[in-house]
Amino acid sequence: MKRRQFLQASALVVSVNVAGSLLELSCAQAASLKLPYHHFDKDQAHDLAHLADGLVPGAAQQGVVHFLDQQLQRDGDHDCLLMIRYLGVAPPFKSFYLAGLKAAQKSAQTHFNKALAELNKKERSEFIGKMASDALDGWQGPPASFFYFVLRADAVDVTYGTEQGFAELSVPYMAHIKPKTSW
Amino acid sequence: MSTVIQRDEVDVLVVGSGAAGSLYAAVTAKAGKQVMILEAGPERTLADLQSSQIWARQLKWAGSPVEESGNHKIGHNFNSGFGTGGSAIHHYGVWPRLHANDFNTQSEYGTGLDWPINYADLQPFYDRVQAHIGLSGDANAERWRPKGDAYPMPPLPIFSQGRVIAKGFQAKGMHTAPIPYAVNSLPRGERQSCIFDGWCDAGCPNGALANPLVTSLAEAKQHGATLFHECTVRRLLLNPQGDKAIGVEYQNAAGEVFVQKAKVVVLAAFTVQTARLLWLSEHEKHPRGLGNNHDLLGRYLMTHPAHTIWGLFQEETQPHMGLSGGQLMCQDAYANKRASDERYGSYQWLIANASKPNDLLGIATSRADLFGEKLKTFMQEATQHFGTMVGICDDIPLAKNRITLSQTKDSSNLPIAKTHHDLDPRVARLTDHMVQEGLEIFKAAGAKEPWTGPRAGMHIMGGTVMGDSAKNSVCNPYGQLHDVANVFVAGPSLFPSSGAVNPTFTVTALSLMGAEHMLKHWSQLS
Repeated sequence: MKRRQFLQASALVVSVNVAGSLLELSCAQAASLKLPYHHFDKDQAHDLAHLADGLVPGAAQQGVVHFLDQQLQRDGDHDCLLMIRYLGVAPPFKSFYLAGLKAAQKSAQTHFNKALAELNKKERSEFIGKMASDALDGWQGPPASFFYFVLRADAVDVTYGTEQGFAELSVPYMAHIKPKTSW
Repeated sequence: MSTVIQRDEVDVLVVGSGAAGSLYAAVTAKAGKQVMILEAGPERTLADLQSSQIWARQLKWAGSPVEESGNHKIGHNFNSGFGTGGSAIHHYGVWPRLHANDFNTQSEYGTGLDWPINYADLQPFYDRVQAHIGLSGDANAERWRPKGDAYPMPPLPIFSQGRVIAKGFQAKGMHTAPIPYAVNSLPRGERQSCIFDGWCDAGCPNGALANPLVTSLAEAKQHGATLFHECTVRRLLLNPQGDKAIGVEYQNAAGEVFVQKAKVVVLAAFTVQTARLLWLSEHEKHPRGLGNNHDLLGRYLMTHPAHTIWGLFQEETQPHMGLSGGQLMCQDAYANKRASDERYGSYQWLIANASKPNDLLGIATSRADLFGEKLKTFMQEATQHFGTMVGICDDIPLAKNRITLSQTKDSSNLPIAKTHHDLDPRVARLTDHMVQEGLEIFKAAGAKEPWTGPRAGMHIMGGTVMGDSAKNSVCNPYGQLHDVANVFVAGPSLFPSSGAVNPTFTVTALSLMGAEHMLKHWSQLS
């Protein structure tokens, strides 16, 4: 497979300037190379990835944070592909994600005395369960269950909404027009 | 605001390139009129319709934001399109007709509003649209179907999911029929037939779906109509007397403002933006907004309350196959809107909708409570054994449900639209009844622990309703504003009642009726 074909097949979405050259990577590659983000700092990205991976196993590896980061560069535009655009939230969406993440980070500290990214699997599962049912006392931000719903949808997109995701579920993709990239 | 640029007058100026606007453009352009269409969204071609639920989102509304309130919001951004063809570019093509009892709900049931026309008035237009565009279906199998010509094409095939769920209806003594579709079951002209891959929501690039790109818009362009994208109309312009429109003011993507003169203006900007534009078009003679001299503009906003039933079956259902709108329908509960004193309305089931793993109507969202390993296990099973159907109910037009203007302004410094929609308790009880029935049907079909989700708004109607008088409506039966005869409103905003069927066939039939009326009375209008 030629490089270009590989990138297309694996969701080319991130362009990175390295020493004056534009490097094109998939979100999954960007995630594995730990490339920086435009809209999230390092801690935010770690926490978001850990939370999303608890929602949908594999989402972090598929580059969910780079997906969000890339789509937020089109925040409010007609080519922004985040599901939130039709969930009744007015753009800019960045403020929604940052407020939800901040609430989750604080809540993890309050309930477990740990950073979100440091929750073990059991703690993370308990945390997400309470988040889904608005049972995290002291949560301050967009409704916890709604933030859960939105972030879960994003994690589902990168994990199951691509040709690779379909294949892993043994669902024939059967494209009329094959997407040039996953998003 | 930058300098206003004047443009030469056209005969017909159409605002919006969706199902209604495109039909008006095609009919009037064929009649030799000089037609211009202004579309607020970007240009779309068939090649843009990539098979992906993620990419499909670019087809959704991304124009001026809309504020929503009420206990049953209309879901504006999900139900509205943006760009060439409007929402019709990727509508699901489910084209049932309204029934006779949808037109006289006040007279017959003491509820809602009567239409100023009846089914017999609209039937010839349904038949002609059907013959022109081509519909697939089985008229005989639709035991509930109102009078009309048989479909020009045979029905689309039923796949595993449809066959499995149909057993539940049979067990309950209920009836199903293939859904009537504006989708080719056979090749038709240059349009291919459906390939049943379930990507309808992402748009149909082979022309099987009668989306405007391959039907009305193509015809309009062929007859000389011009279409401009990313041109947002800011208001309608009237003569000093306020009894005639002289054109519109619009803005392009660069922010340049134009005045486009026109003999006739067709407002087909979909329900919310059509009402908003009339609000924005206030005039000395219409100080509370155009079409609002009787305080009716924006009122009777409706959306179909809809519920989805889901279940997992022992059989392999191939849920990714078929069409997003479903395979079968049931309208056993349509004929009597007062089947109980407690509730009001008809409803229909759309059965065995093609479902992909992700997105709002996707398999993963059906169990939004699951996460982690449980979600993973569910996805592996559900993508092979999933079944779904959607129940769609009547809404009751309530005067308090209204489209108005917000105090908030958009990037063009214009007030954004604000919508309020509450559900009448009688309709809420109808949806509860429908859900119970749906769960029982799924159990009868063999589903393991069927489940349902939250009630949602499907389609958006009302706001500029038609009637026989300015005292009870904004428009006449042809969509003309009572106050300004050379402004035609087109689209589901005209509906005085919602019925419980998908609206696009009725929108198209009404548009044909309105466009022909316009041509017949052209000398008086221009």
